[in-house]
Amino acid sequence: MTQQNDPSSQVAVNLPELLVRIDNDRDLLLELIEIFKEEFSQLFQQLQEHVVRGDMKAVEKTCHGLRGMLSGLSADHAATIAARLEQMGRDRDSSGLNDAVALLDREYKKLLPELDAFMTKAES
Amino acid sequence: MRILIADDDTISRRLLEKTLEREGYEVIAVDNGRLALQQLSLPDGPRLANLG
Repeated sequence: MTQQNDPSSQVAVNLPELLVRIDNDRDLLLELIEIFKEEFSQLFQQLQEHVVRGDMKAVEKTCHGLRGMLSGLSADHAATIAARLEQMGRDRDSSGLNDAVALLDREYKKLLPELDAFMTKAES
Repeated sequence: MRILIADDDTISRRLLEKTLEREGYEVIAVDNGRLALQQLSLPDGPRLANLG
């Protein structure tokens, strides 16, 4: 696998694309990052609870929310994982569910430092 | 023109709200259907609604 195609070498959030989409409104981006940091962890915790209960309908609903949030923030790889989880929920297919949730968690932990770095830079 | 946005995804709602405001629209943003119906039932309520 080349470095270019290796997902682990890619940025988790496409901030330049997002800035273009919001007309370079850095205040709005900071606001969106704050919202994301607050709401993602709540939704992810709900997702983990749904997985433990085996409630695939709730997995679908929560992952729909996660996908929208991640897409909005141009976190494309994480959004793709959330979309896969949403589809698993829709299909009531729990095979590979734990792996996909772990993958989403890893991607979230990867994008957090990128968002924090942007915030630190913007506020300095 | 006044536009209603109803979406429980805060980031999507905020993005659309800002985009429409930049275009000069007056925007009312709510996060659930009950509040959306309240707004739509007002005599001078929004003329257009985007229901997420």
